[in-house]
Amino acid sequence: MRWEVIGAVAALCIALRVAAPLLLRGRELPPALEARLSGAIVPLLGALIAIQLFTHGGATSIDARAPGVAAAALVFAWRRSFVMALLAAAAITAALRVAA
Amino acid sequence: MKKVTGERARDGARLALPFLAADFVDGAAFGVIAAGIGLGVAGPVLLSAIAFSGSAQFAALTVLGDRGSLLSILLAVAALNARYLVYGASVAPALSRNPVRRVLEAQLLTDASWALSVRETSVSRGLMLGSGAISWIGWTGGTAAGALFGSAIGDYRGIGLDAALPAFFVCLLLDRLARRADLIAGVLAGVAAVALAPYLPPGIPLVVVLAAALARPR
Repeated sequence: MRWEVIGAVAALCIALRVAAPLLLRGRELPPALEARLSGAIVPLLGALIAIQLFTHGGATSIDARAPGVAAAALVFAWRRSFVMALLAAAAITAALRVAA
Repeated sequence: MKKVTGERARDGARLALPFLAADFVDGAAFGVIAAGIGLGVAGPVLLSAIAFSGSAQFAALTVLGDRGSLLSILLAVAALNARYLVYGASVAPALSRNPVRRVLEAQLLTDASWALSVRETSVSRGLMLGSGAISWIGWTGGTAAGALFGSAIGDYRGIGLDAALPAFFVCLLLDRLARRADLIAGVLAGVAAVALAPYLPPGIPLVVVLAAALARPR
């Protein structure tokens, strides 16, 4: 790989991760900002899920993962187990692909 | 002020173990593609170990494949990973006081390790470090395997592992739904992100949703 690309991409990824922890050091965020950050967790999770499941290269799309993930949601709501939910997602997705 | 909870890294690793395989095959896919366009083995593995960011690395490959400039690669990476500024701010209270350790610990931030460790009123260093380390092992190991053994790895999508990460995020979301308003906010954010995706460069819809969520009247 072109080494300048590796160096620059790696440096940028590191910088984005460490910027806030280094700038804040031991200080707390102002409570108002803290509350806003907490309030952003659920919307950001919703957006991450939707982008992964329902877009492909920018275009809207859907595939066998969506029913798999829906099954995982049901299993998780029922048993509160990450392992069982992820197994359900993989199994349903694979089964639908075999069937297709 | 966020409470820092005392889970061990082991607890985070145990929670993240189910998607070690998914990280491995994602890493392998990156390694296969990177080696396939003539980038060798050492470069892609080093990039996975240090940048440790699937979306940013795949974007870099795409731009490289299109003979794009370094500047366009960096713009894509910045857009894709701008949310890490927020992740960093929200885990900061839990990290080591030592600046060197702080930097190293922050390297284990991922979407998953952040989502697992940060809650409304608390943050857990152990969960972040443990789950981040599992992802790092899977991603970097997978990249090495993919770059070395190429297409012998095969097509992992046949066994449905690519559904594991979105399923994991759905579980985390369900785990965090305390009020009906949360569910509505999560669904609205998802709809908005998908609606924006065709019109904006990759990564920017997440930044827009994040900005809207932070600016939301409370």
